[in-house]
Amino acid sequence: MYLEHLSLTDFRSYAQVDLTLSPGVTVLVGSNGLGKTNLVESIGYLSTLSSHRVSQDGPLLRFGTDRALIRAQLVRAEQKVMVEVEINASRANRARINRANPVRARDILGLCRTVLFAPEDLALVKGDPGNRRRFLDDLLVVLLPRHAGTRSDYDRVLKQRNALLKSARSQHFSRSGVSESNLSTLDVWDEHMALAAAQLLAARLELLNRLRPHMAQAYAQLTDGSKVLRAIYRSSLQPIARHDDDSPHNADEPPGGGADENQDADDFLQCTVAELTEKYRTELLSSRIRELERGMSLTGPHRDELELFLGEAPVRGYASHGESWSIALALRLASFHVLDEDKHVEGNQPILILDDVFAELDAQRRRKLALMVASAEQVLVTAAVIGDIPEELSGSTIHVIPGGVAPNE
Amino acid sequence: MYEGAVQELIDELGRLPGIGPKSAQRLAFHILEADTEDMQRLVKAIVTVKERVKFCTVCGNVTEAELCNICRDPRRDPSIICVVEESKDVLAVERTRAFRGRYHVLGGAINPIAGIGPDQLRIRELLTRLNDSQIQEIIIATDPNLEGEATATYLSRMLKTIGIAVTRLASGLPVGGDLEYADEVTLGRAFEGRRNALN
Ligand SMILES: Nc1ncnc2c1ncn2[C@@H]1O[C@H](COP(=O)(O)OP(=O)(O)O)[C@@H](O)[C@H]1O
Ligand SMILES: [Mg+2]
Ligand SMILES: [Zn+2]
Repeated sequence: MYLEHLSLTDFRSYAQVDLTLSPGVTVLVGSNGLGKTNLVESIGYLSTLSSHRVSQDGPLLRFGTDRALIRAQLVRAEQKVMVEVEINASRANRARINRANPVRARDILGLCRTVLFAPEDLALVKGDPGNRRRFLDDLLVVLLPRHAGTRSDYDRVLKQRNALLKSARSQHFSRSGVSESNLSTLDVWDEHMALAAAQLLAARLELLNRLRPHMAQAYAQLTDGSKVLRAIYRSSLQPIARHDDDSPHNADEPPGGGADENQDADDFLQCTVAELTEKYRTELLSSRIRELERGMSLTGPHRDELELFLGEAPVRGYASHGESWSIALALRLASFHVLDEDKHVEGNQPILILDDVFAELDAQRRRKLALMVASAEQVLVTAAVIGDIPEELSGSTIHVIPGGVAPNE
Repeated sequence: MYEGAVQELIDELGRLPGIGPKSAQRLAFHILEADTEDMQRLVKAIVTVKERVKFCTVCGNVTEAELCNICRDPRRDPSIICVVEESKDVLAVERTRAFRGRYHVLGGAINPIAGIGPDQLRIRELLTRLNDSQIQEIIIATDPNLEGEATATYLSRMLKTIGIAVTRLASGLPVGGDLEYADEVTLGRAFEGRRNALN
């Protein structure tokens, strides 16, 4: 697919801006702070309904306004689709498709598919596990929009259950113990949590399974191929998770037992959602006392980790700066390929967005990345200086100027 | 900040659900500028509602008498009770004309974030009603969102032990919403297709 027209109203620094684009490579140039990232951020927002820079919508509204509008004309397999989303400060966001009646924002997920590379991506590699969980979940929602429900259901159950555990915690430490009604309510939330957790875990594992070959391949292509990029999913359902921060290791265990670094949640890939639900039920029951002591949920996909390895060495804390960048790029490239090979959708190939990444890379990585993306249906690149863009990525240029873009020359 | 009475009005209006500070201010100035007679009618309507309207001692629905219209109506089937979250849901179900039994209004849903557990809902009152051997079926019609579902699970588990048929509305209701937003046809169908809640 490609983006033919973008119009922003009161989004970030723009009161109003209109942009006409064509397939192939387009470079947005302009000095720092002019609003290049603001433009591509809006396109990414259409795709995931969240910004790649901030976790709340507030900063997306132009200072002093309480409503922002992103409107995009997309072309998917020669079909035009108009997608519009309204971001509101004080009520629910809304969307419209082809100027029809407003729908929930969530209903546009899957229509605009993008993969966005940004300087922030380094956190995928170096940051805490939450970054990598979010990477999986964001991609999941673009690939299979129904999982927006899976994700939000889980978040909601988790919040409710945590609220209950927090209020039951003080009772747990009191002489009368946790009240009967709190215990039976906890049973109910356990049931809903087990189901929501199983659905999310199954979806993540299935996605990771699709990502793996592409990750390894992209990393090999970006580098000289001497090291292999691997990913291991660690689930809080696995025995190892029970030895977290507060419970001592069992002295009878062989050294490293349960903490085998190759232990992966791959076994769970064969499980049905019903089987995973049952596993979570059991796990929740057995961790109940610990959860009451801590007043929070200790089991579930919100505690899982996607651990990355180069060969046998863990990436976090070991990979060099250059390697870390290659890994981040490989994760994004793999996302692109997973979406691209998904043939259920017409015009399935995502729009590639490279926000200011070339400035971060050495000459060799720049060239390799450029070669790998140049043939995509649409590539949008931002840069402060045109010289940062490798020759392999030649295309049209749009000059970003204060408050807008220069008219096409 | 405005002087005395105006600010007081803004503050009071701002405490109403769905009214933010800006709306409160707009309403307050509307009231200030409006016809005195019109506003006296509004005040009277509020006072009357607070004096006259109560909650039905049996089902918890709003009523001006001891018992609500539905609990008083001998033509309504006393053997079947539909459990809903709020009085407005009673209206939504009534509009479908798909249900001829009686109601039980819980007064909300289980919601730990808002500090609402089973003890804050009219669940004990429901159990008391079930001592009446006439009752043979309970239909749980809580909202099709997470809190509504959790409340339904809680009730089904509790009622399982009593030996009364417990059913849930069939799926097909817009997920994540309020019962009252479901259109009549969809809600009516959900009633007809209700299923056993315990499997
Ligand atoms: N909500 C907002 N309202 C007004 N201006 C904003 C808002 N958010 C960001 N900006 C401005 O946008 C500029 C940054 O734009 P950005 O797209 O990140 O620049 P770059 O061209 O370097 O990518 C800053 O000057 C910032 O003050
Ligand atoms: Mg930028
Ligand atoms: Zn009544």
